[in-house]
Formats: sequence, structure tokens, C-alpha cells
Amino acid sequence: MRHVLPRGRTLPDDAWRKRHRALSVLLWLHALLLPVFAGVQGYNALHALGEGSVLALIAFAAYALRHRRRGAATLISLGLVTSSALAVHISGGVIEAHFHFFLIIMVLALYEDWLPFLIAAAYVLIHHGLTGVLAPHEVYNHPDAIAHPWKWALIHGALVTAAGAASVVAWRLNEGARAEAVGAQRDAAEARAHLVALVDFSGDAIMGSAMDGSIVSWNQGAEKLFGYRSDEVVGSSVDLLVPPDRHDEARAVRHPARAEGVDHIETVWIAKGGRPIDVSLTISPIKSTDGQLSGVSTIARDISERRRTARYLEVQHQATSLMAESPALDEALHGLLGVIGRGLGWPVGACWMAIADGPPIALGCVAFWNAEGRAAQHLAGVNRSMKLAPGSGLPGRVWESRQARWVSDVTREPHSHRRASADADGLHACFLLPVPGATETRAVLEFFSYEFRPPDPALLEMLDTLSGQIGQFLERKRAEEALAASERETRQILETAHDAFVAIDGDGAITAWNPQAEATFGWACEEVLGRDLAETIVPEPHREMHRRGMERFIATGEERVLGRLIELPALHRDGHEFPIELTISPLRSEHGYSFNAFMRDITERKAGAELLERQRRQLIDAQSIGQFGSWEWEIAADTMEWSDELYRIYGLEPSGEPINVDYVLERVYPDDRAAVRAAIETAYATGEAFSFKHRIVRPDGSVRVTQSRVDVVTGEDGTPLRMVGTGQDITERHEAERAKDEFTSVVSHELRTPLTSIRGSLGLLESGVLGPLPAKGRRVVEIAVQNTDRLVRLINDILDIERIGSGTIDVRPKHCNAAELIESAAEGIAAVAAEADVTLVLESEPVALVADPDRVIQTLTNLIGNAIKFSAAGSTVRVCAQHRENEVLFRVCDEGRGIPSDKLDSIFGRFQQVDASDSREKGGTGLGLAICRTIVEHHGGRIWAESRLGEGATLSFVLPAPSARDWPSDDAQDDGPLVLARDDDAAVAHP
Amino acid sequence: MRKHILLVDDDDDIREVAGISLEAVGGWQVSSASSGIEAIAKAIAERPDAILLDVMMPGIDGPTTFKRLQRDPATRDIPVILLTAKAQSGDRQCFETLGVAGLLTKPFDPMALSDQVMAILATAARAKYGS
Repeated sequence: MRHVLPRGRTLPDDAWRKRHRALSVLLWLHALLLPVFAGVQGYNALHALGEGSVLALIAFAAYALRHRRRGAATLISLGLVTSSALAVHISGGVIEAHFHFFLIIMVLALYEDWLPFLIAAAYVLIHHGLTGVLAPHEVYNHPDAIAHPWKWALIHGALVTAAGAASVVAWRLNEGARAEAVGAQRDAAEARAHLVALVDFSGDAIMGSAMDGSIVSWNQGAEKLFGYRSDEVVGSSVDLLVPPDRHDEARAVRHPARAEGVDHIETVWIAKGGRPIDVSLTISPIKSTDGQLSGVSTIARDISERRRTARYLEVQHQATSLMAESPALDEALHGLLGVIGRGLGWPVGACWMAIADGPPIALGCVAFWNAEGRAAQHLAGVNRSMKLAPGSGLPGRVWESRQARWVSDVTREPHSHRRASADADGLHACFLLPVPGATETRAVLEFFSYEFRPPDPALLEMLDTLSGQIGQFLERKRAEEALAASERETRQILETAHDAFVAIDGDGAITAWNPQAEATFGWACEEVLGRDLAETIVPEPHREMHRRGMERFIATGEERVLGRLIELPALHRDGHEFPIELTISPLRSEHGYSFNAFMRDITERKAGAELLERQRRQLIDAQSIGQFGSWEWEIAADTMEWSDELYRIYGLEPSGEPINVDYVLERVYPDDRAAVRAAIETAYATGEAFSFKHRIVRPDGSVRVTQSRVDVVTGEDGTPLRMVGTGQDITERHEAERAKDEFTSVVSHELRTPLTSIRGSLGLLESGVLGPLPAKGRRVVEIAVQNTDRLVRLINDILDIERIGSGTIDVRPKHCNAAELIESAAEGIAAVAAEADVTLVLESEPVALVADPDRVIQTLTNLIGNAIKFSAAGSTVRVCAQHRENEVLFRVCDEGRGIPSDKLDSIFGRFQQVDASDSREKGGTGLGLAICRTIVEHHGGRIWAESRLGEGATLSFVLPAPSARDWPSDDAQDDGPLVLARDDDAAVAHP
Repeated sequence: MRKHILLVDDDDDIREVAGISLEAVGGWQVSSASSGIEAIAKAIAERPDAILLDVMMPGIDGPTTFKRLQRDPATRDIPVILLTAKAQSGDRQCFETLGVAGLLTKPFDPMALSDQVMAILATAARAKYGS
């Protein structure tokens, strides 16, 4: 049914709208004219207007539904049938009902739709039937019709149906022909659209060109590939696209007349902006309908990707070959830049590497490559001079991030240090490629182009693999160079080694021989390489042993001398033997054993050692003979080393065990330990050398007296580091000194005892207590008294000078005042001065000093006594003391006869007087000034005499004025003798 | 009443000369002893005002005798003056540390001996009892 009856859908919109509009106008005409007709026929106005309104309403509804084709068509159909029915009715049957048929058929024919037709037909049938039955005269004029309404109704219905069927048949016939025509047209349009779509949306660029080479068509693919819009190129010459150097390759495009069938070529064309594109061209001639050539069509396909892959593979192949040849690193880098730059069309390349391993790492441009023809000299200059830190500049940032970077235009890169130089060279695009190492970036490769190039991730991705290979290559080169450097270093070490280095193989043939070996053995390297070692440097008697040793080691691995320092005799080329010290180390490789040996000529060292040993023995002998030993004490470590003689002095056997200060103190006589310890502490505190005597107790219980001398070795800051010293056994000397002292003491006593009786007796006689004496008797007694006194003085002086001279005198420094000392001396001698009628003038100022007051008074007494002795009655003796720089000056001036200049020094000698008769006349012993000099010198001072004959004499002495730190403390004064810094007998408590 | 001094010396001549000097010049009552033992016995028996004691004597010497006198309460307070032929200052120091009242050296001036003894005793008395 669907396929038989027209449904109106096939009717094009335009045609339907036109037909609908015509039928609508017809209906509206009915709506306007029917009331007029009704009025003419005598109907009242209301009835007439009512019928017109019904039709207008239907027409309006059809208008409102104009977009719903079936609804609108049905309403128009109903409106027209109603109108015809009303017309028949108003005309009273004058207007024939057949009029309906035309209307209905028209509807069907015009709308080409069965639904409005069917509704209209049904309406007519029903209306005809009912009206024919109820009021036949209104419908039919024929009497038979009026008589038989149903018959006529059926006839009308059959006619309508037949008309409808005929309409359908006609429609079907018309529809088939029309559909065929429409299909043909549509097919043609679709084919054209397909073609256009094919051309337009083809992935390939398709262009047509006329006989003169001008472009006449340009599809979207072409726009996409070459960047030109259609309106930019249509009419232009194809030369726009063809590089000048490739005009020959595309001649058929430029001159279609030369086209010879379909042509396929692969070439490079230029896109908008000058970018070269690899293209595959299919060039076909275009012929007009009359078979004449009218142009060519060119299909261009972008084969950049394929070509780039091919180029990349070529680049990779070349790079791999280059790296496999393993040239020097800088040569390799330059070659790699060239291979990549040339192969991929980037005319400038550089390589950045760490030039200082840091930290901090500094990157430098280690290779720069530039394609022939155009030099990027500014960039090259800047790269050569620039050092970058990781993270700084493009190479530094890529180094740090380990990510490739693409810069479309480096001259617009805001943070590039080299923007200006790239600009000056005309460079724009660049990409940077990190070359990874095992753990860190090994290098950064950068390439520049003179063009702007959009980012090409595919290129970077392809190069990623290559950069990995380059990274491995750099790692390998680095390892190789490190190995080479190590070998160079080893060779250099061996060549400059102080020791001779000799290597041999398992057969004993020499394989290495350094310059020191040449100097040691007298053989040049080239002479000995390959020679048998034993024949070359091993003395004949030892060769067999040497060979057996090598064979034993190779056979059993038994090492007797390997790896140890040994001494052996060696043979020089000139035949003389000399001692060497050597270490041999075996080296096992796949070729068997080899041996390396370092050897040193120890001739001089052995001679030195022998000399040292001889001197050591001499020292031991000297210590033994002199009975003194030596020691050294490392203070911080508290370790002491003793010489053998010191052990002997202490009655000990050298045990080799470490000893320390406590070990020594344990062997010091108990009463002396505190003094020894104090002496050491004082030396440590002052850093000054000292000597002292003390007793030691030997293991057998015997006591010995030793004299120790100690020197303190200090560091740069004055800190004592160690003490060195000697210890001498002075027991015998000490005993001798004691015996001498005892003798002196006994002599003194034994001389004084009778003198005491004599002097006492004479004194009693002289005084007259025992009764008066005759004048001569008194004189004789007086002489005896004077000479007894002189004898006593002589004995005292001799004893004094002996004790002072032998160093057994007590010197007890104390705080003194020079003025007080002078007064004490003057007081003691005042009686003598008064007796001689000599005036003593004391002019001293209070001057502080540290000295033994008794000894200073003794000296002053001596000097003043001398001055009085040699002064005339009525004269004056002046005594003064004054402070001078670092010393105190004492002066005793008289107005006596003076001292001849040639005696000014000698008067301080023993038994020296200005005049030999003085000792008799003046009662002197000739020892007074000698005692004075001894005392002054014991104080560290000096004494001298100044005089002019007849004008008196001045005897002066100075004593050092000690600084505050030298002043003894009050304790020191009370503790008695400062014996430990002096060779003083008092340090030793007599055993 | 005359002051009594005990003179101790192993040398008879010195004992005699010194005794004369002290008696004749200083007016002392002099008794004498020739050894340390005798000196101690006499000191206990006679309780002299002072003892002039020689240092070097056979048997017990002067310092030892002094120490024994010091140990005996009966003689502890008798001032002792040592008389010595050892005139060196070291000896002097050594003797002074014993605690003797004073020290006189041989040979002495017989005319000054008494005065020297008196001076030493006076000094010792001042030191002991205050001025």
C-alpha cells in the first residue's frame, strides 16, 4: 500500500509549497466568493457570511499547519470539498456535483498524497449519499438520480474511486519517470560532491596547473601541506613551490607540454615561509573533451616523515660507525656534530661538557661545528669563552633537567646568554639534547638553524636513542682516557721513581726497565729488554739460587722473598757488585706469571749506617769511659730513652721496655725525690736548662751520686716538648770533694785552735790585764798580735777563696737595699776608718737588688778597707750605689795614691798587690780583691778599677738588677739555697 | 753576785786563756769542762748563767751537747753560746738554726770576749722576754 499510494513525501518542498499555495488561494477565493454567490442566490447575509467564515477558518487552519504537509493538505482538501458542496447547495444543484471530482482529483494530483484524497473522497461519498437520500433534488438534477439516490451515490462513488485510481495510476507512472530523472540528477550531484570531497579532503595536496604553468586549482591538502590558501596561489606560477636548484626535476609541472604520461618523482618543494618539504609528486596530464592537453594535475604527498626516518637512520648509521672507529674524544665530538647537523639539516652544532668536575661543575663548549658556506662566528666566539654552571643558560638548564629542549627562535629566548650572538649570526631555531651518562648528564648537544622551526617532538624522540648511544660512547671514552691517563701516570711514576723498576716475564726475560734502573745498573733500556735478568744484574754466585726460586714459585706458589723487603748483592754492567734493597711482587695473568721489582742501590746508605754504627759505638765507649749516660724524655707521651751507660750507672740492664719519669724517680734516693721533681717542674715551667746533683739507689742497695744536666726543647709557641740530658756518676768525685772540704775544715780548725790560744794570750798580755810589761816587751807583744791577726786573716781569706773558687760557697740571694748594705759595711769598718782618720762619706740612694747580703757586705768591706788602707789621714772615702739600666753600680772612691794603669786588672788576681811591700806595710793578704771579684762574678756581675796615679782610685762593681720575675718569692728566701740551678754541694745531703 | 759562766772546750790552752779573759776582763765566775759529757754534768750541777760551748770536740760535739742540754728541763733555759773555729757563713747558718743564743768565732779578742758574750746574752734575753 505504501508503495502503491502516493504519500506526498517524495514531492520536493519547493514544488509542494507552490502547489499548496495555489490550492490555498483557491480556498480563500471560495471563502470570499461563496458569500457573494449566496447573497446573489437570495440567502440572507448572516447565512452567507457564516458559510464564508467556515471556509476562511479552514483556510486559516491550513495556513497555520503549512509546515505539516499532510495536515495542511487534508484541511485544504476538506475546505475545497466543503466549498464545492456549499456551492452545489446554494446553487440548488445548478452547479453540478461533478465539480467535486475535479477538486478531489486536483488535490490528489497536486498534493500527490492519498490521505487528503481519501478523506475528501469519503466526505463526498458520505455527503452525496446522505444528501442524495434526504434531499436528492439538491444534488442531482437527473430525475433517475432523484428517484434512486443510492444508485447515483454508488455511481458517483465509483466514479470518484475510479478517478482516484486513475489519478494514482497516473501518479505512479509520473512518479517512476520523475524518480528516475531525480535519481540521475542526484547521482550526478553526489558523484560531483564525492569528487570534490575526495579532492578537497584528500590527505594529499592536489593542484591543477594550466599550460603556462600557472596554478588553476588548489585543494585543502595543498593548503595544509604548503601553507598557502587557495586564493594566494591560484593564478601564480608553480615556480613558487619549486626550489631553483630542482627546476629540472619538476619540469612537467612547470611546462605541461613536456608531460609524458603519468610521472612519479620525489623531490623537495618549498612551503610558505621557505620551509623545505620532502614530497612525492604524481604528475598526470589533463585532457579536454576533444582530447587536447589542457594542463596537468599534480598530486603531492608529504614524505618528510619517511625521508626524515631514512635520514635519521643514515645519521645513526654514520654516528655509530664514527663512534666504532673510536677516535680521540674531541675529534669524535666534532664528527658527531657534523654527522647529525649535516644529516638532519641543522647547520650549526656545539657540544657542552663538564670542564671542571667540581663541585662546582663548570660547563664549557668542547666542540663546535659549522656547515660549509656560512660561519656562525659570533656564536662560536661566545661559546668558546663562556663557562656555564648547571642550571644556567640553555645548555646548563638542559644539563640539569636532562630533558631535551626546542627553541623555535633563540633570539627571542628571554634567558639566553647567547641571544645577541645568535641574532648576529642570523640563527633562530635550535634544539638541545642531553647526553645521559650512567648516573649524570655527560654532555649537551645543541644545534642551530638559520630558520624558525616549530617544535618537532618526533625529531627529539628519534634523537633520544642516538643520544643514549653517544652517552655510552662518552662513558667508554672517559673510561679509556682515565685508563690511558692512569697508564701514563704509572709510566711517569716509574720513569721518575727514585727506585729502579724492573719487570720480567715468567721466563726471566726483562720486559720493563725504567731510567733509574739504567742509572743503577748501567744498562740502557733498549739493551736489556728481552735479556735474561739473572745474566744481567744477578751476580754469578747467586744466579742459580735466583732461577731455582723463580721455578719453585711458579711450580708451587711458595713465596720466600716475594712481597718482602730484602737485601741482595747486585751486578753493575761494569762488573762491580753493590748492595740493593728490593721488593718483588708477582702478577698472574692469562699469559702466566710476571714479576715486578723495585730496587734501590743502598751502597751509600749501608756506608752511612756503618758510619753511624761506628759512631754509636764510639759514643757508647765515650759514655762508658766518662761514666755518663744520656737520655731523652718525650714529655707529652711520658716516654724516656736511656743510653746503655745510663742503665749501667743506675745498675740496670737495658730491658727495651718503655720507661717514664716515675721509673726514674723510683730510683732516686728517697730524700732527694722531692728536689728532683721540683727541678723538673721548674725546668718545665721556665724552659731553661739546668743541672743538679742527686743520689740514686741501685737495685743492690748501693747509693751513687749523679750529676744531671738537662736541656729543654720547646716548640714554636714555647711549650716544652721534650727534655734531653746527661747523667754522670760523680760518686768518686763527690767523695773526693767531701774529703777536701773535710780537710779544709779540719785544717781551718786545727790552725785556729792554737792561734786562738796565741791570740788570746797575746791580747791579755798586750792589754796589761795580767800586769804591766816593759816598753819593748809591749812592742814585741804588739808585733806578735798584729802578725797573729794577719795570719788569721790569711787563713780566713785562703779558706774563703778556696770555697768560693771551688763553687762550694753559699750564695743566698735576698731582697736587699743597696744603701743598707753600704751602711752595714761602713758600720763594721767605721772603727778602722776612725783609727786611720779617714772620713767615710756614704752617698747611696735606696736601690733595690737581689743578692746575698753577707757576700755583698763582705765585698764592700774589702773595698772600703782597701780604700782606707791606702788613704792619707784626713782624706775622704766615698761610697755610693746607684741604679743603672738593668744593673746596680757600687763605687768606692778614695783620694789615695792611685793605681798604675798596668795594675788596674792584675790587682784582682790572687796574692796581687800594687806594691809587693804593701802586704807587709798594710797588713793585706793579697787575696781581698780576688775574693771580691769571685763574689761579684758569682752574682753575675763584674768588677773593675779606675785610677790615675796620685789622684786616688775608684773601684766599682755592678750587680744585675733583676726583673720582677727573677725576684725570689718570700718562700724562696726562707727555703734556703737555690741549689738546684747551681753546682752546689748543698743540694746533696751527705749520705 | 758575779755571773757564772761554764766554759767548755777540749783544748786546755783555750780554756785557760778564755777563762782568764772572762774573769779578768769581764769579772765572770768561770767554771770549765773539757768535754760535752762533763759540760752537761756541770751544767746540771752548777746551773751557770751561760755556757760558752766549743763546737768541735771529741766524744759528743758542741751541737750534740747543746741538744742534750735542751732536752733536760734543768738546763733547757741556760743560754748557750757556741765557740767555733768554723767561721764560714754556711756553718754559721747551720749553728744558728740549732737555737743557740749566739755564735763566737775563734780566734777571739780576749779583751772583747766578755763584751761579746754579754751582748749576745742581752740580745737573747730580749728575744726571749721582750724588751
